[in-house]
Amino acid sequence: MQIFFKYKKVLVPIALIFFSFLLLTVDSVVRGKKEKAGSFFLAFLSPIQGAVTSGWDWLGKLKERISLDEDKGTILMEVQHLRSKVTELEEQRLENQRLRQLLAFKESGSFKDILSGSIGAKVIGREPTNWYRTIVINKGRGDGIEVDMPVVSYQGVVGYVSQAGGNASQVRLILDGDSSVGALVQRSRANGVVKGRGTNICEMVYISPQADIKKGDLIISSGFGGRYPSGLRIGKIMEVEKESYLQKALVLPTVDFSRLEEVLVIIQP
Amino acid sequence: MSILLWALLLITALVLQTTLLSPQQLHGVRPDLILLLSVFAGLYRGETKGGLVGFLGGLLEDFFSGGLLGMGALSKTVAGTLAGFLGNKLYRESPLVQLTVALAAVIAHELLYLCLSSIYTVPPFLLAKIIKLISLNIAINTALSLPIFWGLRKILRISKAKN
Repeated sequence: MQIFFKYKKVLVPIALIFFSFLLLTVDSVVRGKKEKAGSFFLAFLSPIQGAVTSGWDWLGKLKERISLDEDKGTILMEVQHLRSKVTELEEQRLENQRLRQLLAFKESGSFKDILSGSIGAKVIGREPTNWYRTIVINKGRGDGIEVDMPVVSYQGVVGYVSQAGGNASQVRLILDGDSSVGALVQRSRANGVVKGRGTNICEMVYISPQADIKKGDLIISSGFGGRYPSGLRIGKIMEVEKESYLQKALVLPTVDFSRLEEVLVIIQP
Repeated sequence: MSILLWALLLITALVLQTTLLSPQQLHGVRPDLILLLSVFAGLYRGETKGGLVGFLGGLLEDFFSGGLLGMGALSKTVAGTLAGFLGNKLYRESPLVQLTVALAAVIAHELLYLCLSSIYTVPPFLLAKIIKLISLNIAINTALSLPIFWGLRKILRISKAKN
């Protein structure tokens, strides 16, 4: 026994190596005998293995979930950003289209002289009520705008400047009840006055009873009264009312006031 | 360090190796924690304990592996004992010594395992693949030896302080 303890450091490893060889040799000859002992260890360790694997899987799923949530948030933000970008680009496209139309109108042969000194302005405010009476534009006295100057769009007559501020002005629309424009029927040259009614439809009054007017006729400005240049489109006749001594007609303006965004203020009518 | 603590460490190493560190999860190469535990036992507790931990750990591993009983036990006993012999002759607190001892023990383990496989179980045409795998095993286990030894030394100190 004393010899064993004396040479323990050498004997134990040798004994273990020998025993391992023995096991190896036995197992290689009689295979399958280790299964019984193995099943014992398996029964002991498998619940731990199961728990560790489940825990690891759960952690993996949790990590994946967090990552997916983060990805989802990022993607949603990106979608919102792209949507606003698309809207912005669409706005720019439409504005570009309108400005091109306004420019084409400004440089068209018949109005070139009248509109050569006109100032382009953006609509920045509208009537806060349901009545179509005034709009606010982003140009004022500082830009050379004065009261009574006519305001037009490429679609036709819009109104006139009723108040001029430093950087903005109020425009009274032809739809307003206090507004009136000297007009004539383009086809028959019958004269009259287009007055506002406070709604999106105007009326043409003071038409001679003999005048030839009918539904669909185009009404243009006559230039009488001095405020508006002649030849600008005002609207189309919707309905004619014949009275004993005069005629009047309902006129649908050619300008779409609900979508008006850019206008031209004519400096020299 | 009590026998219970060594048993706990061996079981933990085995559980980790068969679950989280399974070969599928690390591209066919896995850290051999039981081997590193045997090398650590040899390095810090001498060749007897190194051989004993290697033997028991290898035997435990053999029960769970598809190989022959005794292959793991033999190769890990040799690795643990070798680490013990080298640890006694060298200054084991040096990281370079630890790394060298780990490398030597891991190479000895892998070569022995390869020899035993070629003798007892594996057909020769598979040896080329196994040699490649063994090279990777040597690299990964040697690389892991330092952090694992550091962790085990911490456990040893905590265990000593409590006793």
